Amino acid sequence: MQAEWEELARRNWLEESDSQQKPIPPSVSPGYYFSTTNPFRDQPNAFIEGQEKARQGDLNAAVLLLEAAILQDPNDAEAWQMLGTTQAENENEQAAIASLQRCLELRPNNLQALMALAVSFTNSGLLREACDALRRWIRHNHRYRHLVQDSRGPTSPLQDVLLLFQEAALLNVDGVDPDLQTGLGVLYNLSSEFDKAVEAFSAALSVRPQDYLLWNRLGATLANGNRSQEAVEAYSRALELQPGFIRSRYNLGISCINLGAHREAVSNFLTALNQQRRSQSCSQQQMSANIWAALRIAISMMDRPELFQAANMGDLDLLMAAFQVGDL
Amino acid sequence: MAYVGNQNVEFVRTGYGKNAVKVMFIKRQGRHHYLIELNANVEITLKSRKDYLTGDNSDIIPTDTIKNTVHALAKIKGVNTIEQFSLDLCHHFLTSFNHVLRAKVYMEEAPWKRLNKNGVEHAHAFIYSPEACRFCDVEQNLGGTPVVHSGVKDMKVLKTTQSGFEGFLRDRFTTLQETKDRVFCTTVYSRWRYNKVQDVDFDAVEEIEIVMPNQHYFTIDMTKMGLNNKDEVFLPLDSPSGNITGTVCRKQRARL
Repeated sequence: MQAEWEELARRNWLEESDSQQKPIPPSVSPGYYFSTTNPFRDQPNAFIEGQEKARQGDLNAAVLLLEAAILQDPNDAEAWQMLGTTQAENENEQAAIASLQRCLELRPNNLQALMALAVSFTNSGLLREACDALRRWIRHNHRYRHLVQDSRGPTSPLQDVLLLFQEAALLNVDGVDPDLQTGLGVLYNLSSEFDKAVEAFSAALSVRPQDYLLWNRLGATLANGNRSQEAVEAYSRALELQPGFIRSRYNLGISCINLGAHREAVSNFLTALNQQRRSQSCSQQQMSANIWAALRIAISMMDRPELFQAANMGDLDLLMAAFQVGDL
Repeated sequence: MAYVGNQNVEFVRTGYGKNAVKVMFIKRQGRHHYLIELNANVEITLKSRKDYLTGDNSDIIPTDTIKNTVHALAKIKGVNTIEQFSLDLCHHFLTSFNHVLRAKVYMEEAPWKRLNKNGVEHAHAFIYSPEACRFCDVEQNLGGTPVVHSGVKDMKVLKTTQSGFEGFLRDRFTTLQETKDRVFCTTVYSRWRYNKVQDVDFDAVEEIEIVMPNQHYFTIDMTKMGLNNKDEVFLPLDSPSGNITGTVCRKQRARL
Protein backbone atom coordinates (compact mmCIF):
# COMPACT_ATOMS: atom_id res chain seq x y z
CA MET A 1 0.00 0.00 0.00
CA GLN A 2 2.87 2.32 0.85
CA ALA A 3 4.31 1.76 -2.60
CA GLU A 4 0.98 2.64 -4.15
CA TRP A 5 0.91 5.96 -2.32
CA GLU A 6 4.47 6.74 -3.26
CA GLU A 7 3.68 5.88 -6.85
CA LEU A 8 0.72 8.20 -6.86
CA ALA A 9 2.71 11.00 -5.25
CA ARG A 10 5.52 10.70 -7.76
CA ARG A 11 3.24 10.78 -10.76
CA ASN A 12 3.22 14.18 -12.32
CA TRP A 13 1.82 14.13 -15.80
CA LEU A 14 3.81 17.24 -16.69
CA GLU A 15 7.05 15.25 -16.50
CA GLU A 16 8.60 12.49 -18.55
CA SER A 17 8.18 9.07 -16.97
CA ASP A 18 11.95 8.58 -16.71
CA SER A 19 12.70 11.59 -14.58
CA GLN A 20 11.55 10.74 -11.08
CA GLN A 21 12.71 14.06 -9.69
CA LYS A 22 10.63 16.08 -7.28
CA PRO A 23 8.76 19.02 -8.81
CA ILE A 24 10.88 22.19 -9.05
CA PRO A 25 10.00 24.65 -6.26
CA PRO A 26 9.19 28.14 -7.52
CA SER A 27 12.22 29.69 -5.78
CA VAL A 28 14.41 27.94 -8.33
CA SER A 29 12.07 28.75 -11.16
CA PRO A 30 12.87 27.67 -14.69
CA GLY A 31 12.68 31.26 -15.90
CA TYR A 32 10.16 33.68 -17.23
CA TYR A 33 7.70 32.54 -19.91
CA PHE A 34 7.31 35.28 -22.46
CA SER A 35 4.04 35.74 -24.36
CA THR A 36 4.12 33.83 -27.62
CA THR A 37 2.68 36.67 -29.69
CA ASN A 38 3.62 40.22 -28.74
CA PRO A 39 2.31 43.04 -30.93
CA PHE A 40 4.83 45.43 -29.28
CA ARG A 41 7.87 43.26 -29.94
CA ASP A 42 9.82 45.93 -31.81
CA GLN A 43 8.22 48.99 -30.29
CA PRO A 44 10.64 51.82 -29.57
CA ASN A 45 10.38 53.29 -26.04
CA ALA A 46 8.63 50.13 -24.95
CA PHE A 47 9.69 50.58 -21.31
CA ILE A 48 8.33 54.12 -21.02
CA GLU A 49 5.09 53.12 -22.69
CA GLY A 50 4.83 50.10 -20.43
CA GLN A 51 5.21 52.32 -17.40
CA GLU A 52 2.47 54.59 -18.70
CA LYS A 53 0.09 51.71 -19.38
CA ALA A 54 0.70 50.38 -15.87
CA ARG A 55 -0.05 53.80 -14.46
CA GLN A 56 -3.28 53.88 -16.44
CA GLY A 57 -4.25 50.48 -15.08
CA ASP A 58 -4.01 48.57 -18.35
CA LEU A 59 -1.85 45.87 -16.81
CA ASN A 60 -1.95 43.35 -19.65
CA ALA A 61 -0.72 45.91 -22.16
CA ALA A 62 1.93 47.03 -19.68
CA VAL A 63 3.17 43.45 -19.36
CA LEU A 64 3.48 43.04 -23.12
CA LEU A 65 5.34 46.35 -23.49
CA LEU A 66 7.72 45.52 -20.65
CA GLU A 67 8.34 42.07 -22.13
CA ALA A 68 9.17 43.79 -25.42
CA ALA A 69 11.60 46.12 -23.67
CA ILE A 70 13.30 43.11 -22.10
CA LEU A 71 13.47 41.20 -25.36
CA GLN A 72 15.22 44.23 -26.82
CA ASP A 73 17.59 44.49 -23.85
CA PRO A 74 17.63 41.39 -21.62
CA ASN A 75 19.85 43.09 -19.03
CA ASP A 76 17.49 45.93 -18.30
CA ALA A 77 17.11 45.40 -14.54
CA GLU A 78 14.59 48.18 -14.16
CA ALA A 79 12.35 46.62 -16.79
CA TRP A 80 12.57 43.23 -15.04
CA GLN A 81 11.63 44.91 -11.76
CA MET A 82 8.67 46.71 -13.25
CA LEU A 83 7.55 43.54 -15.02
CA GLY A 84 7.67 41.71 -11.70
CA THR A 85 5.60 44.23 -9.79
CA THR A 86 3.15 44.59 -12.67
CA GLN A 87 2.65 40.84 -12.95
CA ALA A 88 1.97 40.69 -9.21
CA GLU A 89 -0.66 43.43 -9.59
CA ASN A 90 -2.02 41.42 -12.50
CA GLU A 91 -2.40 38.37 -10.25
CA ASN A 92 0.31 36.27 -11.93
CA GLU A 93 2.48 35.33 -8.99
CA GLN A 94 4.81 32.85 -10.68
CA ALA A 95 5.61 35.32 -13.44
CA ALA A 96 6.23 38.00 -10.82
CA ILE A 97 8.66 35.79 -8.91
CA ALA A 98 10.58 34.85 -12.06
CA SER A 99 10.91 38.50 -13.12
CA LEU A 100 11.97 39.78 -9.73
CA GLN A 101 14.55 37.05 -9.34
CA ARG A 102 16.00 37.94 -12.72
CA CYS A 103 16.13 41.61 -11.67
CA LEU A 104 18.00 40.67 -8.51
CA GLU A 105 20.50 38.59 -10.48
CA LEU A 106 21.36 41.83 -12.30
CA ARG A 107 21.00 44.16 -9.30
CA PRO A 108 21.30 42.22 -6.03
CA ASN A 109 20.74 45.29 -3.89
CA ASN A 110 17.49 46.48 -5.47
CA LEU A 111 15.35 47.17 -2.41
CA GLN A 112 12.00 47.42 -4.20
CA ALA A 113 12.55 44.11 -5.93
CA LEU A 114 13.54 42.44 -2.65
CA MET A 115 10.41 43.69 -0.90
CA ALA A 116 8.16 42.73 -3.79
CA LEU A 117 9.78 39.28 -3.92
CA ALA A 118 9.23 38.84 -0.18
CA VAL A 119 5.55 39.62 -0.71
CA SER A 120 5.26 37.14 -3.57
CA PHE A 121 6.99 34.43 -1.57
CA THR A 122 4.65 35.13 1.33
CA ASN A 123 1.63 34.76 -0.93
CA SER A 124 3.05 31.47 -2.19
CA GLY A 125 3.47 30.12 1.33
CA LEU A 126 7.28 30.07 1.07
CA LEU A 127 8.17 31.31 4.52
CA ARG A 128 11.90 30.66 4.44
CA GLU A 129 12.36 32.35 1.07
CA ALA A 130 10.29 35.36 2.18
CA CYS A 131 12.37 35.77 5.35
CA ASP A 132 15.53 35.47 3.31
CA ALA A 133 14.42 38.25 0.96
CA LEU A 134 13.54 40.52 3.85
CA ARG A 135 16.86 39.83 5.54
CA ARG A 136 18.58 40.84 2.33
CA TRP A 137 16.43 43.98 2.24
CA ILE A 138 17.72 45.05 5.66
CA ARG A 139 21.28 44.09 4.79
CA HIS A 140 21.23 46.32 1.67
CA ASN A 141 19.43 49.20 3.37
CA HIS A 142 21.85 51.94 4.42
CA ARG A 143 19.82 52.95 7.41
CA TYR A 144 19.56 49.55 9.00
CA ARG A 145 22.35 47.35 7.73
CA HIS A 146 24.37 47.82 10.88
CA LEU A 147 21.76 45.90 12.82
CA VAL A 148 22.49 42.65 11.03
CA GLN A 149 24.53 40.19 13.07
CA ASP A 150 25.38 36.68 11.98
CA SER A 151 24.77 34.59 15.04
CA ARG A 152 21.65 35.20 17.03
CA GLY A 153 21.26 31.95 18.87
CA PRO A 154 18.77 29.17 18.27
CA THR A 155 15.76 31.08 16.96
CA SER A 156 13.76 30.47 13.81
CA PRO A 157 14.49 32.39 10.59
CA LEU A 158 11.16 34.17 10.96
CA GLN A 159 11.82 35.28 14.54
CA ASP A 160 15.34 36.36 13.59
CA VAL A 161 14.31 38.70 10.82
CA LEU A 162 11.23 39.90 12.73
CA LEU A 163 13.52 40.99 15.55
CA LEU A 164 15.70 42.82 13.03
CA PHE A 165 12.75 44.74 11.64
CA GLN A 166 11.44 45.56 15.10
CA GLU A 167 14.85 46.93 16.13
CA ALA A 168 14.96 48.94 12.91
CA ALA A 169 11.54 50.42 13.62
CA LEU A 170 12.76 51.59 17.03
CA LEU A 171 15.44 53.65 15.28
CA ASN A 172 12.80 55.79 13.61
CA VAL A 173 11.92 58.08 16.51
CA ASP A 174 10.79 61.01 14.38
CA GLY A 175 8.74 59.40 11.73
CA VAL A 176 7.51 56.26 10.07
CA ASP A 177 9.48 54.51 7.34
CA PRO A 178 6.66 53.13 5.17
CA ASP A 179 8.88 50.56 3.48
CA LEU A 180 10.10 49.23 6.82
CA GLN A 181 6.51 49.09 8.03
CA THR A 182 5.61 47.16 4.88
CA GLY A 183 8.30 44.62 5.75
CA LEU A 184 6.92 44.36 9.26
CA GLY A 185 3.44 43.91 7.90
CA VAL A 186 4.62 41.05 5.69
CA LEU A 187 6.42 39.38 8.60
CA TYR A 188 3.41 39.65 10.88
CA ASN A 189 1.35 38.01 8.13
CA LEU A 190 3.86 35.15 8.10
CA SER A 191 3.65 34.81 11.87
CA SER A 192 -0.14 35.09 11.71
CA GLU A 193 -0.12 38.09 14.04
CA PHE A 194 -2.66 39.82 11.85
CA ASP A 195 -3.57 42.63 14.22
CA LYS A 196 0.05 43.72 14.40
CA ALA A 197 0.30 43.49 10.64
CA VAL A 198 -2.74 45.74 10.33
CA GLU A 199 -1.03 48.28 12.58
CA ALA A 200 2.11 48.16 10.45
CA PHE A 201 0.32 48.69 7.13
CA SER A 202 -1.85 51.40 8.68
CA ALA A 203 1.30 53.18 9.83
CA ALA A 204 2.70 52.96 6.31
CA LEU A 205 -0.57 54.33 4.91
CA SER A 206 -0.41 57.32 7.25
CA VAL A 207 2.66 58.41 5.27
CA ARG A 208 1.40 57.28 1.86
CA PRO A 209 -2.38 57.45 1.86
CA GLN A 210 -2.60 57.26 -1.96
CA ASP A 211 -0.58 54.08 -2.25
CA TYR A 212 -3.06 51.56 -3.65
CA LEU A 213 -0.62 48.67 -3.12
CA LEU A 214 -0.62 49.43 0.60
CA TRP A 215 -4.41 49.57 0.72
CA ASN A 216 -4.52 46.14 -0.88
CA ARG A 217 -1.95 44.79 1.56
CA LEU A 218 -3.96 46.14 4.44
CA GLY A 219 -7.09 44.56 2.99
CA ALA A 220 -5.44 41.19 2.45
CA THR A 221 -4.13 41.22 6.01
CA LEU A 222 -7.60 42.00 7.35
CA ALA A 223 -9.10 39.26 5.18
CA ASN A 224 -6.59 36.62 6.26
CA GLY A 225 -7.29 37.67 9.84
CA ASN A 226 -11.01 37.05 9.29
CA ARG A 227 -11.97 40.72 9.30
CA SER A 228 -13.67 40.42 5.92
CA GLN A 229 -15.97 43.43 6.14
CA GLU A 230 -13.07 45.78 6.88
CA ALA A 231 -11.08 44.07 4.15
CA VAL A 232 -13.77 44.98 1.63
CA GLU A 233 -13.45 48.64 2.62
CA ALA A 234 -9.68 48.58 2.16
CA TYR A 235 -9.94 46.89 -1.25
CA SER A 236 -12.53 49.43 -2.34
CA ARG A 237 -10.09 52.22 -1.50
CA ALA A 238 -7.38 50.50 -3.53
CA LEU A 239 -9.71 50.09 -6.51
CA GLU A 240 -10.86 53.70 -6.30
CA LEU A 241 -7.23 54.73 -6.64
CA GLN A 242 -6.48 52.18 -9.37
CA PRO A 243 -9.53 50.59 -11.04
CA GLY A 244 -7.29 48.32 -13.12
CA PHE A 245 -5.73 46.71 -10.04
CA ILE A 246 -6.56 43.12 -10.84
CA ARG A 247 -5.11 41.60 -7.67
CA SER A 248 -7.26 43.77 -5.45
CA ARG A 249 -10.38 42.93 -7.40
CA TYR A 250 -9.49 39.25 -7.05
CA ASN A 251 -9.05 39.74 -3.29
CA LEU A 252 -12.37 41.57 -3.13
CA GLY A 253 -14.03 38.57 -4.76
CA ILE A 254 -12.47 36.25 -2.19
CA SER A 255 -13.83 38.37 0.66
CA CYS A 256 -17.24 38.33 -0.97
CA ILE A 257 -17.11 34.54 -0.92
CA ASN A 258 -16.15 34.62 2.77
CA LEU A 259 -19.08 36.94 3.47
CA GLY A 260 -21.47 34.66 1.59
CA ALA A 261 -22.03 37.15 -1.22
CA HIS A 262 -21.41 34.67 -4.01
CA ARG A 263 -23.04 36.66 -6.76
CA GLU A 264 -20.91 39.70 -5.96
CA ALA A 265 -17.84 37.49 -5.84
CA VAL A 266 -18.55 36.10 -9.30
CA SER A 267 -19.20 39.58 -10.61
CA ASN A 268 -15.82 40.78 -9.38
CA PHE A 269 -13.95 37.81 -10.83
CA LEU A 270 -15.67 38.21 -14.18
CA THR A 271 -14.85 41.92 -14.24
CA ALA A 272 -11.20 41.16 -13.57
CA LEU A 273 -11.03 38.46 -16.25
CA ASN A 274 -12.76 40.71 -18.73
CA GLN A 275 -10.29 43.51 -18.03
CA GLN A 276 -7.43 41.12 -18.70
CA ARG A 277 -8.91 39.68 -21.85
CA ARG A 278 -10.05 42.96 -23.27
CA SER A 279 -6.67 44.57 -22.90
CA GLN A 280 -4.82 43.19 -25.86
CA SER A 281 -6.88 40.37 -27.35
CA CYS A 282 -4.98 37.94 -25.18
CA SER A 283 -5.71 34.25 -25.17
CA GLN A 284 -6.88 32.23 -22.21
CA GLN A 285 -3.26 31.63 -21.26
CA GLN A 286 -2.79 35.28 -20.40
CA MET A 287 -5.70 35.49 -17.98
CA SER A 288 -4.91 34.72 -14.38
CA ALA A 289 -5.39 31.08 -13.50
CA ASN A 290 -5.97 32.04 -9.86
CA ILE A 291 -8.97 34.12 -10.80
CA TRP A 292 -10.47 31.30 -12.84
CA ALA A 293 -9.97 28.93 -9.90
CA ALA A 294 -11.65 31.33 -7.48
CA LEU A 295 -14.49 31.88 -9.96
CA ARG A 296 -15.09 28.13 -10.16
CA ILE A 297 -15.28 27.95 -6.40
CA ALA A 298 -17.72 30.85 -6.16
CA ILE A 299 -19.99 29.36 -8.82
CA SER A 300 -19.81 25.91 -7.25
CA MET A 301 -21.41 27.44 -4.16
CA MET A 302 -24.35 28.71 -6.18
CA ASP A 303 -25.85 25.40 -7.29
CA ARG A 304 -25.98 26.32 -10.98
CA PRO A 305 -24.42 23.27 -12.65
CA GLU A 306 -24.64 24.64 -16.17
CA LEU A 307 -22.71 27.75 -15.12
CA PHE A 308 -20.17 25.60 -13.31
CA GLN A 309 -19.62 23.71 -16.52
CA ALA A 310 -19.13 26.99 -18.38
CA ALA A 311 -16.61 28.06 -15.73
CA ASN A 312 -14.83 24.72 -16.07
CA MET A 313 -14.42 25.21 -19.77
CA GLY A 314 -13.46 28.87 -19.56
CA ASP A 315 -16.49 30.29 -21.37
CA LEU A 316 -16.16 33.89 -20.23
CA ASP A 317 -18.78 35.27 -22.62
CA LEU A 318 -21.51 32.95 -21.44
CA LEU A 319 -20.74 33.74 -17.81
CA MET A 320 -20.63 37.49 -18.39
CA ALA A 321 -24.02 37.32 -20.05
CA ALA A 322 -25.46 35.16 -17.27
CA PHE A 323 -24.30 37.55 -14.56
CA GLN A 324 -24.87 40.69 -16.60
CA VAL A 325 -21.31 41.88 -16.34
CA GLY A 326 -20.72 44.34 -19.12
CA ASP A 327 -17.63 46.23 -20.20
CA LEU A 328 -16.49 48.81 -17.65
CA MET B 1 -34.58 12.41 -46.45
CA ALA B 2 -35.95 15.92 -46.47
CA TYR B 3 -35.42 17.84 -43.26
CA VAL B 4 -38.41 19.69 -41.93
CA GLY B 5 -37.45 22.34 -39.38
CA ASN B 6 -38.96 22.04 -35.94
CA GLN B 7 -39.37 25.22 -33.94
CA ASN B 8 -40.12 23.43 -30.68
CA VAL B 9 -37.01 21.30 -30.43
CA GLU B 10 -33.35 22.23 -30.45
CA PHE B 11 -30.03 20.57 -29.74
CA VAL B 12 -28.59 20.92 -26.28
CA ARG B 13 -25.51 18.81 -26.69
CA THR B 14 -24.16 16.29 -29.17
CA GLY B 15 -21.20 13.98 -29.18
CA TYR B 16 -20.16 10.56 -30.32
CA GLY B 17 -17.15 8.32 -30.15
CA LYS B 18 -15.74 4.94 -29.24
CA ASN B 19 -15.82 3.39 -25.81
CA ALA B 20 -13.58 0.77 -24.28
CA VAL B 21 -10.66 1.04 -26.66
CA LYS B 22 -7.98 -1.13 -25.11
CA VAL B 23 -4.31 -0.69 -25.76
CA MET B 24 -1.14 -2.01 -24.22
CA PHE B 25 2.09 -0.12 -24.78
CA ILE B 26 5.57 -1.46 -24.14
CA LYS B 27 8.74 0.62 -24.05
CA ARG B 28 12.02 -1.25 -24.10
CA GLN B 29 15.15 0.37 -22.74
CA GLY B 30 17.78 -2.29 -23.11
CA ARG B 31 16.72 -5.15 -20.90
CA HIS B 32 14.42 -2.94 -18.83
CA HIS B 33 10.86 -2.93 -20.15
CA TYR B 34 8.08 -0.52 -19.29
CA LEU B 35 4.44 -1.45 -19.59
CA ILE B 36 1.19 0.46 -19.56
CA GLU B 37 -2.21 -0.97 -20.41
CA LEU B 38 -5.17 1.31 -20.78
CA ASN B 39 -8.85 1.42 -21.56
CA ALA B 40 -10.12 4.58 -23.22
CA ASN B 41 -13.47 6.21 -23.97
CA VAL B 42 -13.11 8.90 -26.61
CA GLU B 43 -15.87 11.32 -27.55
CA ILE B 44 -15.85 14.22 -29.98
CA THR B 45 -18.39 16.92 -30.81
CA LEU B 46 -18.62 18.23 -34.37
CA LYS B 47 -19.56 21.70 -35.56
CA SER B 48 -22.49 20.71 -37.73
CA ARG B 49 -25.48 18.61 -36.84
CA LYS B 50 -26.27 17.44 -40.36
CA ASP B 51 -25.46 13.87 -39.46
CA TYR B 52 -28.29 13.95 -36.93
CA LEU B 53 -30.72 15.91 -39.08
CA THR B 54 -30.34 14.67 -42.65
CA GLY B 55 -28.17 11.59 -42.44
CA ASP B 56 -25.34 13.37 -44.22
CA ASN B 57 -22.20 11.56 -43.14
CA SER B 58 -19.65 13.68 -44.95
CA ASP B 59 -18.29 15.24 -41.76
CA ILE B 60 -18.29 12.14 -39.65
CA ILE B 61 -15.05 10.64 -38.49
CA PRO B 62 -16.12 7.01 -38.02
CA THR B 63 -15.80 5.62 -34.53
CA ASP B 64 -13.72 2.87 -36.10
CA THR B 65 -11.31 5.60 -37.16
CA ILE B 66 -11.33 6.94 -33.63
CA LYS B 67 -10.34 3.50 -32.41
CA ASN B 68 -7.57 3.29 -35.01
CA THR B 69 -6.39 6.74 -34.00
CA VAL B 70 -5.94 5.63 -30.40
CA HIS B 71 -3.82 2.72 -31.62
CA ALA B 72 -1.80 4.84 -34.02
CA LEU B 73 -1.13 7.64 -31.55
CA ALA B 74 0.12 5.12 -29.02
CA LYS B 75 2.69 4.16 -31.62
CA ILE B 76 3.48 7.69 -32.84
CA LYS B 77 3.58 9.55 -29.53
CA GLY B 78 4.14 6.70 -27.12
CA VAL B 79 2.33 6.37 -23.83
CA ASN B 80 3.97 7.72 -20.66
CA THR B 81 0.99 8.41 -18.46
CA ILE B 82 -2.72 8.14 -19.10
CA GLU B 83 -3.04 11.89 -18.52
CA GLN B 84 -0.46 12.78 -21.15
CA PHE B 85 -1.89 10.30 -23.65
CA SER B 86 -5.38 11.69 -23.07
CA LEU B 87 -4.04 15.19 -23.70
CA ASP B 88 -2.39 13.96 -26.89
CA LEU B 89 -5.63 12.43 -28.12
CA CYS B 90 -7.64 15.59 -27.46
CA HIS B 91 -4.99 17.69 -29.14
CA HIS B 92 -5.02 15.42 -32.18
CA PHE B 93 -8.76 15.57 -32.76
CA LEU B 94 -8.94 19.32 -32.27
CA THR B 95 -6.03 20.15 -34.52
CA SER B 96 -6.25 17.55 -37.30
CA PHE B 97 -9.68 18.69 -38.36
CA ASN B 98 -11.34 22.06 -38.57
CA HIS B 99 -14.83 20.87 -37.67
CA VAL B 100 -14.28 19.28 -34.25
CA LEU B 101 -15.52 21.53 -31.47
CA ARG B 102 -14.72 19.48 -28.43
CA ALA B 103 -12.87 16.34 -27.43
CA LYS B 104 -13.31 14.29 -24.26
CA VAL B 105 -11.26 11.32 -23.16
CA TYR B 106 -11.79 9.07 -20.16
CA MET B 107 -9.02 6.59 -19.53
CA GLU B 108 -8.32 3.86 -17.00
CA GLU B 109 -4.97 2.28 -16.37
CA ALA B 110 -4.60 -1.44 -15.69
CA PRO B 111 -2.87 -1.99 -12.36
CA TRP B 112 0.24 -3.80 -13.53
CA LYS B 113 2.99 -3.78 -10.90
CA ARG B 114 6.56 -4.76 -11.50
CA LEU B 115 7.43 -8.07 -9.80
CA ASN B 116 9.58 -7.41 -6.80
CA LYS B 117 11.88 -9.76 -4.88
CA ASN B 118 13.67 -8.53 -1.76
CA GLY B 119 13.37 -4.96 -2.94
CA VAL B 120 14.83 -5.73 -6.34
CA GLU B 121 12.52 -4.95 -9.24
CA HIS B 122 12.23 -7.33 -12.13
CA ALA B 123 13.23 -6.02 -15.53
CA HIS B 124 10.28 -7.39 -17.47
CA ALA B 125 7.89 -9.32 -15.27
CA PHE B 126 4.73 -7.82 -13.83
CA ILE B 127 1.83 -8.85 -11.68
CA TYR B 128 -1.73 -7.58 -11.95
CA SER B 129 -2.38 -5.87 -8.61
CA PRO B 130 -5.87 -4.46 -8.48
CA GLU B 131 -5.54 -2.63 -5.18
CA ALA B 132 -6.73 0.53 -6.84
CA CYS B 133 -7.60 1.71 -10.31
CA ARG B 134 -6.03 4.89 -11.64
CA PHE B 135 -8.10 6.90 -14.08
CA CYS B 136 -8.22 10.31 -15.66
CA ASP B 137 -10.50 12.40 -17.80
CA VAL B 138 -9.48 15.21 -20.08
CA GLU B 139 -11.84 17.59 -21.81
CA GLN B 140 -10.86 20.33 -24.21
CA ASN B 141 -12.79 22.78 -26.35
CA LEU B 142 -11.45 24.10 -29.63
CA GLY B 143 -9.28 27.10 -28.77
CA GLY B 144 -9.41 26.34 -25.08
CA THR B 145 -7.07 24.90 -22.52
CA PRO B 146 -7.56 21.27 -21.54
CA VAL B 147 -9.19 20.46 -18.22
CA VAL B 148 -7.56 17.50 -16.55
CA HIS B 149 -8.96 15.43 -13.72
CA SER B 150 -7.13 12.46 -12.25
CA GLY B 151 -8.39 9.92 -9.82
CA VAL B 152 -8.26 6.69 -7.95
CA LYS B 153 -11.15 4.26 -7.59
CA ASP B 154 -12.04 0.76 -6.47
CA MET B 155 -9.63 0.95 -3.56
CA LYS B 156 -11.29 -1.25 -0.97
CA VAL B 157 -10.04 -0.90 2.59
CA LEU B 158 -11.27 -2.33 5.86
CA LYS B 159 -10.52 -2.07 9.56
CA THR B 160 -11.73 -4.53 12.18
CA THR B 161 -11.80 -2.21 15.17
CA GLN B 162 -11.52 1.41 16.35
CA SER B 163 -14.48 2.56 14.38
CA GLY B 164 -17.75 3.55 16.04
CA PHE B 165 -20.93 5.43 15.38
CA GLU B 166 -22.88 7.12 18.14
CA GLY B 167 -24.53 10.36 19.12
CA PHE B 168 -26.62 10.55 15.96
CA LEU B 169 -30.07 12.02 15.65
CA ARG B 170 -32.94 9.71 16.55
CA ASP B 171 -36.47 10.11 15.23
CA ARG B 172 -39.47 7.79 15.04
CA PHE B 173 -37.95 5.92 12.07
CA THR B 174 -34.59 5.30 13.76
CA THR B 175 -33.90 1.73 14.89
CA LEU B 176 -30.09 1.74 14.60
CA GLN B 177 -28.26 1.00 17.80
CA GLU B 178 -25.26 3.06 18.80
CA THR B 179 -21.94 1.27 18.76
CA LYS B 180 -18.51 2.11 20.07
CA ASP B 181 -16.70 -0.50 18.04
CA ARG B 182 -17.44 -2.07 14.69
CA VAL B 183 -15.95 -3.36 11.46
CA PHE B 184 -15.62 -0.58 8.94
CA CYS B 185 -15.17 -1.12 5.20
CA THR B 186 -15.24 1.26 2.28
CA THR B 187 -14.19 1.60 -1.35
CA VAL B 188 -12.45 4.86 -2.01
CA TYR B 189 -13.27 6.92 -5.07
CA SER B 190 -11.31 10.13 -5.31
CA ARG B 191 -11.01 12.53 -8.21
CA TRP B 192 -9.02 15.73 -8.33
CA ARG B 193 -8.57 18.53 -10.77
CA TYR B 194 -5.28 20.00 -11.94
CA ASN B 195 -4.91 23.71 -12.25
CA LYS B 196 -2.67 23.54 -15.30
CA VAL B 197 -0.69 26.69 -15.89
CA GLN B 198 2.12 27.38 -18.30
CA ASP B 199 4.85 27.56 -15.68
CA VAL B 200 5.78 24.57 -13.61
CA ASP B 201 3.34 24.79 -10.72
CA PHE B 202 3.71 22.00 -8.26
CA ASP B 203 0.71 23.25 -6.35
CA ALA B 204 -1.31 22.00 -9.26
CA VAL B 205 -4.04 20.11 -7.47
CA GLU B 206 -7.00 22.38 -7.10
CA GLU B 207 -9.96 20.46 -5.92
CA ILE B 208 -10.48 16.94 -4.61
CA GLU B 209 -13.73 15.04 -4.64
CA ILE B 210 -14.04 11.93 -2.50
CA VAL B 211 -16.89 9.43 -2.50
CA MET B 212 -16.85 6.55 -0.05
CA PRO B 213 -19.61 4.02 0.46
CA ASN B 214 -20.02 2.44 3.86
CA GLN B 215 -20.03 -1.26 3.08
CA HIS B 216 -21.69 -2.96 5.95
CA TYR B 217 -20.77 -6.16 7.70
CA PHE B 218 -23.39 -7.32 10.19
CA THR B 219 -22.81 -9.63 13.11
CA ILE B 220 -24.95 -12.71 12.50
CA ASP B 221 -27.38 -13.38 15.31
CA MET B 222 -26.93 -17.05 16.23
CA THR B 223 -28.91 -17.10 19.43
CA LYS B 224 -31.65 -19.20 17.80
CA MET B 225 -28.99 -21.83 17.17
CA GLY B 226 -27.84 -21.63 20.77
CA LEU B 227 -24.53 -20.01 19.81
CA ASN B 228 -23.00 -16.87 21.26
CA ASN B 229 -21.47 -15.03 18.32
CA LYS B 230 -19.15 -12.46 19.91
CA ASP B 231 -18.63 -10.30 16.82
CA GLU B 232 -16.64 -13.11 15.21
CA VAL B 233 -18.82 -14.15 12.28
CA PHE B 234 -20.18 -11.49 9.99
CA LEU B 235 -22.52 -11.25 7.05
CA PRO B 236 -21.10 -9.07 4.24
CA LEU B 237 -23.94 -7.02 2.82
CA ASP B 238 -23.43 -5.45 -0.63
CA SER B 239 -26.52 -3.35 -0.62
CA PRO B 240 -27.87 -1.09 0.48
CA SER B 241 -24.72 0.75 1.43
CA GLY B 242 -24.19 4.09 3.03
CA ASN B 243 -22.62 6.69 0.75
CA ILE B 244 -20.53 9.60 1.94
CA THR B 245 -19.25 12.34 -0.37
CA GLY B 246 -17.20 15.45 0.07
CA THR B 247 -15.31 17.87 -2.10
CA VAL B 248 -12.53 20.03 -0.79
CA CYS B 249 -10.51 22.79 -2.29
CA ARG B 250 -7.73 25.07 -1.11
CA LYS B 251 -8.86 27.78 1.19
CA GLN B 252 -8.52 30.94 -0.84
CA ARG B 253 -6.07 33.28 0.81
CA ALA B 254 -6.06 36.96 0.06
CA ARG B 255 -2.86 38.11 -1.65
CA LEU B 256 -0.74 40.91 -0.25
